[in-house]
Amino acid sequence: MKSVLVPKKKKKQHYKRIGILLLVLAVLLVLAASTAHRQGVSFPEEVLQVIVAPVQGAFQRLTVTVKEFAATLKNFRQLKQENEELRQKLAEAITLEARLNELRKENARLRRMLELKEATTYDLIAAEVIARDPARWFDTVTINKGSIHGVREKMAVITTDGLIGNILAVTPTTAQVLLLTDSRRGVAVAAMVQRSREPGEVGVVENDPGKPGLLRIKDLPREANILPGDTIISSGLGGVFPKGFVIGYVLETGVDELGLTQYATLQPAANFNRLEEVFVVVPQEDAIDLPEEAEMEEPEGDAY
Amino acid sequence: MAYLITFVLFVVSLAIEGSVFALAGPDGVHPDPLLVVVVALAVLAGMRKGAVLGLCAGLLQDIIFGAPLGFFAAVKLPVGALAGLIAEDIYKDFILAPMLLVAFFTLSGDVFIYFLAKLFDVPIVFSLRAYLQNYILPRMLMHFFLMGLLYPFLYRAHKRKLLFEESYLEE
Repeated sequence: MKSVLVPKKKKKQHYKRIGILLLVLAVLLVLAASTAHRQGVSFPEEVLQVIVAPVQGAFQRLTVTVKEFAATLKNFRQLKQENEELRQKLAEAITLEARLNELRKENARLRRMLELKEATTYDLIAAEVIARDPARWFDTVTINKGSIHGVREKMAVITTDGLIGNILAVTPTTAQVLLLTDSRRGVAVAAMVQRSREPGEVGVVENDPGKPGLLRIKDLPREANILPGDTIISSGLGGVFPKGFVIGYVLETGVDELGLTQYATLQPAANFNRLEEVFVVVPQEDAIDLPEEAEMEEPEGDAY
Repeated sequence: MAYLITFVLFVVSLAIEGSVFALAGPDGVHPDPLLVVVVALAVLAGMRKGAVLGLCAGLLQDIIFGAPLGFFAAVKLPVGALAGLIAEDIYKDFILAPMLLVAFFTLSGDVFIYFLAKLFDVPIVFSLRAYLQNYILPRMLMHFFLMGLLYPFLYRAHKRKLLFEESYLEE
């Protein structure tokens, strides 16, 4: 630290300089007062402004950038929150829409089932498909109705579109349905052409191994009246499948290797890939012993 | 070299005062880096050069901001001179001294501007008390910390003889 004591000479210099300072200050104030209302700038001022302007411009651009960045940051949280809310609403709407569509479809299916139930003379047990082998190794589905509901082995199973198979095994609360498309166990149905209904045209529908998903009616007489587009229905012979249920539609016909009988490839009436609600057909002799609730029960689910 | 660096410091200070630093504080309250630079340079250069630096900085500010010629110069000149005068008795590497000095000169300079503005019929919406509370005090704090950031760089430049040398009164 320098000496606090100020020598006389230095003191004098101080006073002198402070005096000069005050004088300059006064000059500046007078200058400011005289230039307070002036218009325009002098040449040196203009030069200075020209020199400084680019620097000011650069910093101004920097400021704008900083401002925009700050505004973005400020809005980021709000935007993020809004985005989350909208995402949530969208997810809810999508779920709701999916549920609505599902209910619409279910409603349509149930309507068709109700119409079928009212139209048919058979007793029907409505059931829902609750399981299916996802790999489709075995063409069986499990339904949620079993022996306590009146389901017995070999009973025919239908949808609103047509016949799909018969009951393979029954537990008290569930049953396994062997589908017509099962190639291993070969469900055979006594059938006939709906258009002609001649007894001689009764054939056995088996699944077509060469065309998975399609069915085949074979052992038709060589002269049988069958054409592409014909509807094939169950004939009721054999006692397993009741008469009159649609099995499929003729796609093409042909003569077997020996030339003795005809066969036809069928497009199944029911969609075996989308089995959801089905009916178990109760034979007439069993209908007397059916429990009342099983007879009238509808599949679970809300219908619009 | 010292002239060029000083001029660049003044120009950059003025440029950022009206741009980047306008974002630094509440509405209308922003630091005056030129004042900080003037005090710092005056501390390092002494009274006479501090006065000249203050005068030049003030005049430049008048020209750039379109103020009456001499308005800001009348404020910066005594600030530079007095900062240089006081700094003659303190160690240059004692950073707290310029920090406290700039806070003091912010207070005195802004009060001076307040009265100067009244003198020049510049409309003032604040009372002096509100002006002190809402404007001067935040600026004192801003300048205090700004000096803490800036002074070490200027001190190092001064040590490397890049800035104006001290000019003390003869013993």
